[in-house]
Amino acid sequence: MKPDAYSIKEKIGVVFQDVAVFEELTVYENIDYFCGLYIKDKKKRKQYIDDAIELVGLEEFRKFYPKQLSGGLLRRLNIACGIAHKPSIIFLDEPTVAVDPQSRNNILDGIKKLRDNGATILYTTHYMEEVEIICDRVIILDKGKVLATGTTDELKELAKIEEKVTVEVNELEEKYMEEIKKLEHVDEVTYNGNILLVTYKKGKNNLIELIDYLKKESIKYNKIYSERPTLNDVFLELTGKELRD
Amino acid sequence: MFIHNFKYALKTLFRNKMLIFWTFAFPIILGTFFNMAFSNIENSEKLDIINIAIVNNEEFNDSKIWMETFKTLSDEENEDRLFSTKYVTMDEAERLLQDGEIVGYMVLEEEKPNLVFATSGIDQTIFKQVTEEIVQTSEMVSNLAEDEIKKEMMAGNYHIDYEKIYKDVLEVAKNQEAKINNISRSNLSYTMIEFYTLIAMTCLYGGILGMVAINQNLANMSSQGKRVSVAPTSKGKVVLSSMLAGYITQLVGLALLFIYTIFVLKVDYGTNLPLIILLGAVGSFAGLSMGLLIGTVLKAGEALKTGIMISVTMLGCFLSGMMGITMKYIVDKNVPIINKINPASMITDGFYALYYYDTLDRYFFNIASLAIFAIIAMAISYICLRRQKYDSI
Repeated sequence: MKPDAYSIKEKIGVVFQDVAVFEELTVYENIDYFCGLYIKDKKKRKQYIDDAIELVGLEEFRKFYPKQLSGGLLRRLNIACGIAHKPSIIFLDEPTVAVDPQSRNNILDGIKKLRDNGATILYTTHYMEEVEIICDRVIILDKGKVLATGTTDELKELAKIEEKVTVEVNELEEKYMEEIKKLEHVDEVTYNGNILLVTYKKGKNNLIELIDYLKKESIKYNKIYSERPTLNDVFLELTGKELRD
Repeated sequence: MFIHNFKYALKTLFRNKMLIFWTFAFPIILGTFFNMAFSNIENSEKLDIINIAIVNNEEFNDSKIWMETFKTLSDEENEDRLFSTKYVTMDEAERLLQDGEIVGYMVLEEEKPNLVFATSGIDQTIFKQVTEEIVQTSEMVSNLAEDEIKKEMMAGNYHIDYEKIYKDVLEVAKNQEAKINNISRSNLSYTMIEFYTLIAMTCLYGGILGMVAINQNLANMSSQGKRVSVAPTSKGKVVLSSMLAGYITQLVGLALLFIYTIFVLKVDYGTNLPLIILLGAVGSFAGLSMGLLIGTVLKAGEALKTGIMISVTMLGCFLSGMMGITMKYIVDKNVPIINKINPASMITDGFYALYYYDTLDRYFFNIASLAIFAIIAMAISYICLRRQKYDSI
């Protein structure tokens, strides 16, 4: 795309990872400035700004300067500046980094609204739970290469594990861990703190078998639950567990 | 688009506390300190009279204009006298110079003054300027007398009224004497020199405004610049409107400095105020262009660029005589090219030209130099901006 491809650029909205606003302008002025780079009609622009402020829930902060806003509110302002001109394709680069749960919830709701209003959203994140909530289609990238694509369910099928059982155990001797490893379908056994995590390659009644074993060995536990693999597991499975730079 | 960006660029510049400090407050604070410090120096300086010697040879004693001028400038009854002059032999003059009792001495030979100094400095400069003025005056007087006599003879009047010619010549000499006094201490005021360099510095600090304005529009320099780059806007319009906003902010800062120095510090800029303001406006344009150039060409963070901009400005002002007029003299004498390309020097030189020259040639030469400097800086910046592409933002 050439720098002067204005007809394409006006359909695109970008929300950068860094907060890209002017410290010297109020919330309203920041959105007005960036929206004004796309929308020349003042009346239309005013309506668009009001819509953006409502979408991110900044109605009470119109006259606030960025330094007066919390991290979460600042992120919301950052999003408003990027989407106020109602683009049809929106790039969001980790918009929820370092925000409080309420703001994250608000941001994700806003993104869903944008999607429901017809915008195509390209969302970059490391938070897999967010992907599960808002994404229709997922691409897992590692070092610039596409490792997998598909819906969340399709990706989960790529995971080598079928089930994860988590048990809260106060004390567990090494010999029991070795024995659990020998149970049918068990892939891996870890014990960190007081959490015993058992992953299974396949099978359906793994939880019952594990409970039976714990009873038989008179191992006391507080909680026990089973879950399907998450996108996080898939991500770690595909990209490896070693630490990155 | 142009007006929209201009309006917001103006708002961001006027609300940026760091910029307001450097552009508006810092020159005013510095001006206040200059006024406090140098007005005291000036008061004490008034008592310091330049000790010189003149070799009392036959030629000097035969030249009325030389004798009378130095007599007037060394008159002990005159409070504003410039020199304390000793009329001595060549050997004696040399001895006085070696002993440091005089700053220099003059020998008049074949109608030309030969000046001998042991060191360089402001006193030596004054002595030299005075002798140059006397040379010009004596040439003017002899030409005038010659013309008057020719005129009378051409008119067929061989009974020349020597008394009238003498009076006319005397009148010219008196005017020249007033001019010589004028270049003396009162106009070589330390305070004025400092204020000229202060104005030069303020003009060049406009560069910070130019730099900030450009940084806000460059994707590799600021997060706001990334947003501007992805928007359907012409980079040229955005940069130009931001530069205009920076220039107007700079002019406001300069106007405040003039208002403060004129009305609060009671600085007398003389009758050439419109020309001084014009020089300030052109100087600010040069400063702004320098900021644009540094902002565009240097691949560094904004803090480093600001540091470089301030350092370059301060160095330019130092070389143009901000911390002592002797520096300007030394640079002029040893590396004159530096003052030719130093915008601070062009601005201060423009101010001196307004005071020391009857014509405005040198003043406009400096104005033109500043304009050329600004155009070159802008052209380089334009080329660099046109070439900028970003692989990843």
